[in-house]
Amino acid sequence: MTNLDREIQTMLRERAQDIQVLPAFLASFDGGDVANSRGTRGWEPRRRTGWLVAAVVVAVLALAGTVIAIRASRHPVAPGTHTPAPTPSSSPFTMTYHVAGVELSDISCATAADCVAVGLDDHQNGVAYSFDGHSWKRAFSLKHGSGGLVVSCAASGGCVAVAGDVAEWRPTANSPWQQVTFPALSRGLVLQIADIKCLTIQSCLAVGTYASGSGNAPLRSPVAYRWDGHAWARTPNPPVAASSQLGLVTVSCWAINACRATATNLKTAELLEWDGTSWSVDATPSFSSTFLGGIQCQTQENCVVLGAVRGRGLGVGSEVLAGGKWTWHPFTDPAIDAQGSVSCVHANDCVYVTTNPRGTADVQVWNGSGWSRGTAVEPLFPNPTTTANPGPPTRYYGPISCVVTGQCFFVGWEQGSNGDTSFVESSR
Amino acid sequence: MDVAELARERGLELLRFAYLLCGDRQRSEDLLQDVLLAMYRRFPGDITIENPVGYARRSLVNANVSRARRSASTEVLVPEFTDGADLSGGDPGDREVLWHSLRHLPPRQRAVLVLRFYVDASDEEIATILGCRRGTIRSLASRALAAMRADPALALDNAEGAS
Repeated sequence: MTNLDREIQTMLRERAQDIQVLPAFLASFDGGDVANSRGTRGWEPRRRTGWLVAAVVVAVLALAGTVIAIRASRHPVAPGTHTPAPTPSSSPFTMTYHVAGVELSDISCATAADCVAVGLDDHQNGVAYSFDGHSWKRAFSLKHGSGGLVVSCAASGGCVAVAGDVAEWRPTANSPWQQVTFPALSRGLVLQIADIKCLTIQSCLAVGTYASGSGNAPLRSPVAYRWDGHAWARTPNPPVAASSQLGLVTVSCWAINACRATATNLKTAELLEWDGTSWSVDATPSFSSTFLGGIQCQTQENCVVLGAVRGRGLGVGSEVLAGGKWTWHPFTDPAIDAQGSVSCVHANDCVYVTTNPRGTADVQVWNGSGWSRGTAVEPLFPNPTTTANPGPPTRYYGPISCVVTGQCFFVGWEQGSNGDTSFVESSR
Repeated sequence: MDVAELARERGLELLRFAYLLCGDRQRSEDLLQDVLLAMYRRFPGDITIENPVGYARRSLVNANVSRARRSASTEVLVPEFTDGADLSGGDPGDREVLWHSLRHLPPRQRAVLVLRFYVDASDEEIATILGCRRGTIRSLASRALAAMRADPALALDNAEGAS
């Protein structure tokens, strides 16, 4: 054992002593109460913390009743390779691509024949793949320290992908990618872009958080940058109290210089509006949610905001703005995980995909008036769980990007015998 | 043993394990809660596997990796290091630096170190828990230790030797 090994061992054993007592809600676990899943005696309502809880999503799309299925491959690919998968004969969705050694984290499609998927490879470098309607190819790779990658493509095919504080962009679908950095923050501050939306390649808004401090409670502040096709410019600070620890999580724009963004910390949520000049707190809604996640606004009067409520029995669902009025629409199945991804073609047409505890996907669709249920996605690989190797399979589904009704792409990954494999599913 | 008994009798041990995996007290409680819930759904009566703690550990590792990936675009772990901390003296303050460096590792690399140095699991056991090959464990551990050695905040002697 080296000196470092010993130090790590000592540190871990000391750190473990930080936890001296098992919280009552865990010590009083009662299976009968858990069966109800939420808000019952002896079992605290599922306390998803802030972002974790909330990545909730609205979903909608006229795919109700359709079956989403991923073709089960029996031939895992070797790490570092990528191979187009065969197309199943009967399914509205099909796997268009899988790649080993990469964890795809986001996807954006300008059209059904022009998508970009981004993620991290085994070396924690950012990678991007582009789709031309027929095949996927590697678009770029960049060094990346922490956090995930996000991407947004405008209808013209121009795209911007952000990894931490570095971005790659292309003016059109056929032009090369170029790297551009964000303006430097003060020393000690860490920028993490959480979401980006491009209406055109000259009009993007990236939102996120910059953080300072350390430990379990870094100081977080919301931050946003505009991209005009040439450079990033930081927007004025969103009007939230510095002590609120709010960070911007997601953004949606319905017109140039007309966007809404969600901000959240571990306890509260805010909806902010950007008019091209300044941010304001949207005072209109009286949200039920203690967390706001994904947002999709088609117009100023039509938005769907994913939300989560803790401790008040409403669970997970969406805040929907229609006709100037916000209403809460919970998912019909309270057991559905709130950490999935949603994409809307318009206000009455969205799809939500999330991973359930069995490692398959839950799909929810929204038609403008309520949620309905899609069908579980089949695994890419055989279930790795065996007697000798127990445990739930590790799979993850989403994010999703829908281009028109019935045409969506989503990314995911799962653990196969040869390591992680990411995949892209698309509807036909 | 059912899941409720597992929570009562081994809950603290599992919570500590979850805390070391994710580096955050509140998140570790959420992780354990999710895992117990998932286990109850799978085993509503007695847990019918030989090693429920091992099962729970694996579930915690998987859940933490999944959460890290899902939240990677919304959460920031902020490294704040004093310049040139020297660990050779084993000072508690230095271990604080080490803790932050560990928290900055990718979740699977961190899980390997926690399993190896806290749980004292063999590489074979870790491979079983993570559901990958033994060689992958060695690779993950090697990468994790290399990353920590390369961390300027730790100012370690690179000649110390790799694991």
